[in-house]
Amino acid sequence: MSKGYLGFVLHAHLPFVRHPEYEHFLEEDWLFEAISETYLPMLRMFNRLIADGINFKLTFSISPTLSAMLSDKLLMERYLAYLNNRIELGVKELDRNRDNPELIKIVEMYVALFRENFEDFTTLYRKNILWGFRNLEKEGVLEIITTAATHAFLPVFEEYPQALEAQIQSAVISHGRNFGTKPKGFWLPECGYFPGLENYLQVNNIDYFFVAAHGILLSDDNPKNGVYAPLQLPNGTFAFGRDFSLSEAVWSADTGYPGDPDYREFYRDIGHDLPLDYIRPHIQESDVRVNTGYKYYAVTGDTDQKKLYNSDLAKNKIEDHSDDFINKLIAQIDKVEDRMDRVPFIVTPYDAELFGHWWFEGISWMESVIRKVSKNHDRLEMITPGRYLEIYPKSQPGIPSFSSWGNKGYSEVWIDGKNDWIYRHLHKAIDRMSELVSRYPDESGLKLRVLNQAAREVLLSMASDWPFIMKTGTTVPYAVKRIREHIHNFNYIYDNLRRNTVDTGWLTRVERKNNVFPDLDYTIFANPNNSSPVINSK
Amino acid sequence: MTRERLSKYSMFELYKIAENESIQCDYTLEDRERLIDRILDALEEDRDDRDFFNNDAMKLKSTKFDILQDYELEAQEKQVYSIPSRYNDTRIVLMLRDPLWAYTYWDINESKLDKLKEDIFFEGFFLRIFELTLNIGSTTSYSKDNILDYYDIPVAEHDDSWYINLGKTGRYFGIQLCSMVHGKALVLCESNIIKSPRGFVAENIDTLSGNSDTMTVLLSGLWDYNEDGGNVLPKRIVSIMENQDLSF
Repeated sequence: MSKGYLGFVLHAHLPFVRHPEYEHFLEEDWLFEAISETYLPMLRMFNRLIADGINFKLTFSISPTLSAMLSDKLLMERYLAYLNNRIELGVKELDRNRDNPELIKIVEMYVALFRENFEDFTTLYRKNILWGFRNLEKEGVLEIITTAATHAFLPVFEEYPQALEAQIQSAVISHGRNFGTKPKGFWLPECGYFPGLENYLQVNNIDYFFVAAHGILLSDDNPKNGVYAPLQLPNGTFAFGRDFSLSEAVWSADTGYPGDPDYREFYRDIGHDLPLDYIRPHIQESDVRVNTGYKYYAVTGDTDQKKLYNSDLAKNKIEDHSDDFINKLIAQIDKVEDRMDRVPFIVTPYDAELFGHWWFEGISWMESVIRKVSKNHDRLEMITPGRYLEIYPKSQPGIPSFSSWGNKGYSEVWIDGKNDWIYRHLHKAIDRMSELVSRYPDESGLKLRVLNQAAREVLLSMASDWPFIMKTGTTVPYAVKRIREHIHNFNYIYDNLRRNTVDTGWLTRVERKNNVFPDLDYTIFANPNNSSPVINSK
Repeated sequence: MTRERLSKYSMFELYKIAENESIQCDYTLEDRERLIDRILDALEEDRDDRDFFNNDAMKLKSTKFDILQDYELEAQEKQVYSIPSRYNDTRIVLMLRDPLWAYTYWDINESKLDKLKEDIFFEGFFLRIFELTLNIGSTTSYSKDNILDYYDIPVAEHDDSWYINLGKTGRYFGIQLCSMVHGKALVLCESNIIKSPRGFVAENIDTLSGNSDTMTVLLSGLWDYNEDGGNVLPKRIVSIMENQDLSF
């Protein structure tokens, strides 16, 4: 009888969004929605499994920017206000729908969710849910790894070794501060890999990373185990490939599980459906309608006439879909096991926020899968790459190919007519930051603060989220504004330093606002080549 | 974005949205309701494009940021951050986009540009794209010894970026920004060197199906093998193949 290992990898990330200059800020809701619908329900799910004695292990990547926001006092106070607002809305909704038992059941489900979140957030985690993840790592069920400091898509910075080093080293330092450990693994943002990137990971003591399936499959080294075993790179790091077909079962909106007609519809939210006078206290200022989290309809099908959500029907589908996943997993193992010299390892990475937030039932589905894997322990075992490398310390030597999990598998999403204008600014800022390091190699006092803030602004400008948003078309003006803000701030510092002046009032304001990576050392941007890699004027 | 929300905008704001969406308007005659219809049509077209040009992973990832169904007007931004449009350097940068396409951006120092334009024999600018030998090693400049082939693309003075079809995969490429003066090419600057990936499986695909090792490769997503012998390529690989005009 064949046996296989399953490696669930959840990647939790949001860009750094923090606006103390406004009382409410629209894009801060990204974080509040993710805490409410994904992180807290997921922590409850993991703890339920532990309480029931289920044996499981998975890999959890938490980005440094997300960690910074989850431990930020201002944002967490704002989250508390958000939760209270949602509970108030729920109470209003219970009253408004009192004559509709079908709707009341749905409203009660949401009110219970927000109340549980309130209880966990305030009492259990004392407004810092990172504690929850840290405890799960101590329990041995999570292997927490890190990713690039501001989630930069690294292939577009291939020519800037100092920027790659800054992204990776800052991430490792931030991980140590937040979790008290050295990360064994590294989530390459968007699975963006180019040959040579492993060298920056290795000097930061990273053992493994993940690449898209074709990163392994199109390697020059003809990987004999496909994506079911890692490639061992010449520098000793390991590249694990993302399984394609099992990942698609969850990712695909059309053919995957989340598109089932009985599951909850993401796009119908009372924030957009109900009269303004009623919903005004629960949306943004100036009557800008936003999601409230109260969504009453099921996917139903390709129609505007949506049916009311029925959680009992959805529960049945969760069981069907977790059975289907397990069956596919076993079928895949059966197909490949005889062709391999080792137990196949099927790695299925997902964005954590898709579970609970977009696919409302996703967390229950994952819980069901984990329970069923545990029942099939003679054939299936959940492990992490760290554990896999203890079992198999050596793998086929090889180097993955340039790849990402973006559209068509390369850099098309991040280098596109809608966002390509940013690179002349980002590359210039990196060059200039390195120039500042060589000009001021050992500063202290006010100049040190200025230089550290300059480095912070460069890192923030490199986030992959901004070009991604420009390409995919959600909140584009905000993404444009963020790139402009960080480049502007950096240039302001650069110009001031050239004039040997410091605007302390401005600096203090910017430090308070963009306060990510408090222990950042600007010399991280020292250029090992000590010259621009691309300026080559004749 | 709904009709309800658009109806709340002033004509000025509607014109701004129309402009952002590249809708041609007659600013004196446009009927409000008709303009709203046209904006809604354009936004729907945008949505369809986004669906078409993004894979499942990207579409789903974008829901993380999808809290607003309204249109965001840049005009509503309270704070505007100024950044320079260029940095007055003479430099060119080459970035790999996929196995067959690269993106390049460049800048020309103002005084250099003025000097060139003053020359009565100045004819214009062009990009010279080089295919370079594989054993380029650590060299960062091009010479007769490592250039395999090159071709030119004329560009205008106001251009500052270009998408380059590399034509071949699995090769090294570099690019020079040149000016043509009195029939002679003058190199203004040259870029970094990139290597495009091969973009397809390492060995001859015909030999794969009979080999048990490589069957594992196939099973892990290169195509969706089934017991009936049907071979259905996953979408992502299909799109890679289509891009490269490869077919089985």
